[in-house]
Order: sequence, then structure tokens, then C-alpha cells
Amino acid sequence: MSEPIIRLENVNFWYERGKPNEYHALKDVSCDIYPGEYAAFFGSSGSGKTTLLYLISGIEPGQDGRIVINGRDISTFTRQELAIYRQIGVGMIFQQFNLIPSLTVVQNVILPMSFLGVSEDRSKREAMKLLERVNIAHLADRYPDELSGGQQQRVGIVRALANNPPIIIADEPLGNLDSSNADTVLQFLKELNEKDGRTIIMVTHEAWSLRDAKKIFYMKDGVVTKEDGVGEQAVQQALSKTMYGRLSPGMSEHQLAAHSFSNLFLRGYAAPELKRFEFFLAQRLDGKIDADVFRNVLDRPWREGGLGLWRQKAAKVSSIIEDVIAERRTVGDIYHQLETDREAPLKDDIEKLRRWLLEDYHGVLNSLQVMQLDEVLNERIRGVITPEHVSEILSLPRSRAGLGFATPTAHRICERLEFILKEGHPQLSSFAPTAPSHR
Amino acid sequence: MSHDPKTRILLVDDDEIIRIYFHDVFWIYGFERTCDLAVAQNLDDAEKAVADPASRPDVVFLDLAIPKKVEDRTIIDPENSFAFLERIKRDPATKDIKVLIFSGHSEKEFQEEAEAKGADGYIHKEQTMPKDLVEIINNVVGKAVHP
Repeated sequence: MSEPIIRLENVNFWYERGKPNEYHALKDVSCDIYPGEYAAFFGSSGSGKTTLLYLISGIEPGQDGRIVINGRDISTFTRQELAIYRQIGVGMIFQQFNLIPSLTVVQNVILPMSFLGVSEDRSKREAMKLLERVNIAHLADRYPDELSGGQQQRVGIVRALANNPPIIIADEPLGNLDSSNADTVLQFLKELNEKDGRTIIMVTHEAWSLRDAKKIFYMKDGVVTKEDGVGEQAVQQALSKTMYGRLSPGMSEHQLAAHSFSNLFLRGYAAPELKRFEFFLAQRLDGKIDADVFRNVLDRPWREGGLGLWRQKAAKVSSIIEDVIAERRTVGDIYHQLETDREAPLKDDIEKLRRWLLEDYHGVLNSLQVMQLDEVLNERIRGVITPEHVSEILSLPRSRAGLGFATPTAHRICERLEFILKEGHPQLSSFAPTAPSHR
Repeated sequence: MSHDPKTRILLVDDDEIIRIYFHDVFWIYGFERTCDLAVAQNLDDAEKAVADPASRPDVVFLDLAIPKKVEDRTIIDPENSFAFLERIKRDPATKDIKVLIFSGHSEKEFQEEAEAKGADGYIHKEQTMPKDLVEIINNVVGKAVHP
């Protein structure tokens, strides 16, 4: 067998090392990844998997142990050596895309090439070829905020490929994408692995995104707890029943179900929300709270101890859970359904909602206003702010950190928002009216 | 059975980034298994490496704008690199060394002069992506192993 392209030997990493708040993020991690492999690090947030990626890609300098890439230990590299390694050795794909907002799509892709002194005309020719490969060459002169999340992630992938690196590293690349765009990205990663022969390394906490990985490293609390080579078998089939059990051997069956469901139901939510959801779901599955209490918790604002899901989503989630409790459907059925027909991430829901709310608005919002509006919608959906707050922020002038809408416009948007949160909307799948049947 | 020796490559460039870049391409693409890469940051060191049979390269990548100390002054003149090229190609002991000009200058007169003085190729840095460099090294080495 060939030599590993990546070998980690007893790697340790600490944040705030030597300070009172020191955190031991990686503990004696050792593993091998071979040229042309598609490997994944799988674990919940805080398990150390992203730190590991940052060490492999040279973004974070090594502290203890060896990080050997193609036979050389990069933890001994100078800053300049690491900088060039990051340009030609590895391509990074990020969850948040990390595109530069003031540069066009093609300029974003050219950037890593200019670092190596390649002329603009040559870089541009190369960038256009790559954009064509993912069918977005027609968007070359647009700015990132004019693209959908799926399109932005394709730009992120193309930028990672700019200097043709043999290793592609993807850090939760699907977390902000809807089902169809996530599938497109997975398909492309598979193509880069199988057709181009590139080594792919992905970190994820979502089991379904492991479907094409050929090797999985399970991570928990900074430790690789297990390594699986899965061959031709579909990974999600291998994982569905056992993955969280492996990571958390002390959990009961209900706790495991709650843990796995929380990641599937609340895509794009933060760790505290996932934990609260998991807690109440385990309580409900154990019969310690009844259906009404559970549903109210989901709907209740975050600051009042709830989850702050909007009403339609709360109803949908509680209806599915009641089916499991009444044994109309099994945990496995639900898991399979959510893996194949995934919940849209929160960011996507907000984007759809914003577009719908602004359907008949003829003004133009700049990228800062769009971000502010998304934040307001996010907080209103979760019940962090009241309808009155929303109206006030929308109509406050921009000089006072408002959105600067004319008062009648602000009222109209606010009314539409409250209507959809109460009644739902048939054309917005995430905000569909509450129905007895499941999606 | 005789063992095929590694191809010896010498990069002559005063730019540290280019020297690291070359090293990294050799490392990342696995050329270290089939080649020995040496670097020289000035023409004096390059002359010494070529003159000594123990370190004599099979292939030289030669920058054109390399500063040279002349008395108290530092002079950057492509003619210094061209003179070095000429000496390699004139000397029967070194004339078989392949010399590839690796330059940021794309002017036609430089390319013509390089060709007239026996250069085996002219590579314009600004038009060379990492994958092109890999292909060029593959062509001169012919036996590199990709990771």
C-alpha cells in the first residue's frame, strides 16, 4: 500500500494554553489518510473535528505531535512555507462559504492564483473553466450577496480548486444548504474524488452527508473513538442505528433518538438550542412531559425557556414525535425520512421568508440592510423580539441602526410576517400551514 | 541490477517565495521520490553547483533577473543569466544540462536571446499555474510520481 498522504501522530491541541480557561481540544489523535481516499471526521460540535482540519490545512500551527503531509511534518514549517502549502497543497471549503463580499465571483476565484504571481488574464481563463464545470460561469460578474446559498457554495468549491490542490478539505460544507443544493455539493465532492483522484476530507455532524465517504473517524471530546472503512456500503445505512451509540455508549435508547433527531430537525441552529431541544425531546419520549407541554416548549420564545420554533415547525415536529410515541412509526422510519427529505436549514428559511415579504417592495436593499433584515426575521421567528420591535426596527432610519423603510412599508412587512407566522403560507414549504399529515 | 539515479534539478532564483513554491510543488506532487531539488539564490552559488561534478544538475530552472554584486553595486541584468547559460552550453562537461529559463519577463527579445544561447525552454512565470509547473517537471523528469 502507498504511504499515507496525511498522517497524524499523537496530536494534541490546546486553546488558551497555560491560562485558567485552558481547553484541551485534541487528545493524542493519531490517524492515516491515504492518497485518493474520501475520509470524514464525524462528531457533534465541540468534538475537535474542525480544529483537526485547521491543523491539517496549516491554518492553525501545530503544538504537540506530528502532522505529516506526504512525508513532511508541517508543524515544523515557517509561516511562509505554510502560506504556500495552503495555496497549492490544500483547498478549503467552508460552511459559511467565506467569500469576499466586495469582490465578484470570478475575482474571488482568482485570488488564490494571484498569490502565486499568475497574471490576471491567465487566472481569469482558468477561473472561467472551473466556474463552467459547476455550471455558474454566467454568474462570474455577480457579487456574492446576489447569489443563493447553493450558488455561493459552488463558488467556494471552485475557489478551493483554483490552484489544483491534491487535497480538498470541507468543513461542514452542507450546513447552510437546502436538500437539493447539498446533494449537488456531495455529488461534486464525489466526482473530485473518483474522477480527479483528489483526497477528500470532510468534517460533519450530519450522518446523511457521509454517504460517499469511504473512511469515517468518529470523534468525541477531542478523541478519535473509532475508525471505520465502509467500502461500498451506503454509509447512512451503516450509521443510522449505531452512530450515536458509538459516540455515546452511556445513553439510553430515548436519549440516543433525541440526540440524533435534534441534529436532523434543527439544521443550522446553535449548540444551546440543540441541547435544549434534545433535553425536552428525551423527556417527552420518556413520558415525563405530555404532548401539549412538549409542543408549547417548542413554540415558546427562547428567553422564556422554549425553543422559539415558529408555530408550523413546532406542530410538525411534535406531530412526528407523537407518531413515534404511539408506535405508528418507528424511530428508524423517521430517521430515514429525515435523512432523505431533509429539513431546510434556518438560514434558508429566513432567506425564503425575506424574499416573500419583499415581493411587492420596489426599492433596493444593500447587502448590510439584507443582513439586518435577516437578523430581525431570525429573532422574531424565535420569539426573541415582539412584532412591535420588528415594526420599530424596520422604520427606524439607517443612521440609528434601523432598516430605513417608510412607515407604511414597515407596517405592511410586519403584518405579512405576523400573518405567515400564525397562519403559514402554502408556497413557502417551511412555513406551510399546520396540517395533520407529515411532509 | 543497477538503480536508476534521481534526476538532479537546480532552481536559480533570488525570490524566496519562488524557491519555497518550487520546494512545495516537489513535495506535494511527490517529485522528491524521483528528483533531488537544489536551490541557489544567486549566480555565484549556481556556478559552483554546476562546476562540481558531485552536485552538477541534470536540469536548471534559471531566473533572468537575478541581482549580482559588482564591486559595491548590486546589478540586475538579464545578461548575467544569459552569460551563465552560455557557459553551461559551451563547456563539453556541462552542455547536456537542460536549461529552462523561468522568468517573469515575457519580452520577445529575451526569448529569442535565450533560444540563440541554447536554452531548452522558456517558461513565463505569470502564465504558469501550479498544474503547468507539474507538467513541465513531469516532462523533464519523465518519471515523477503523483500523490
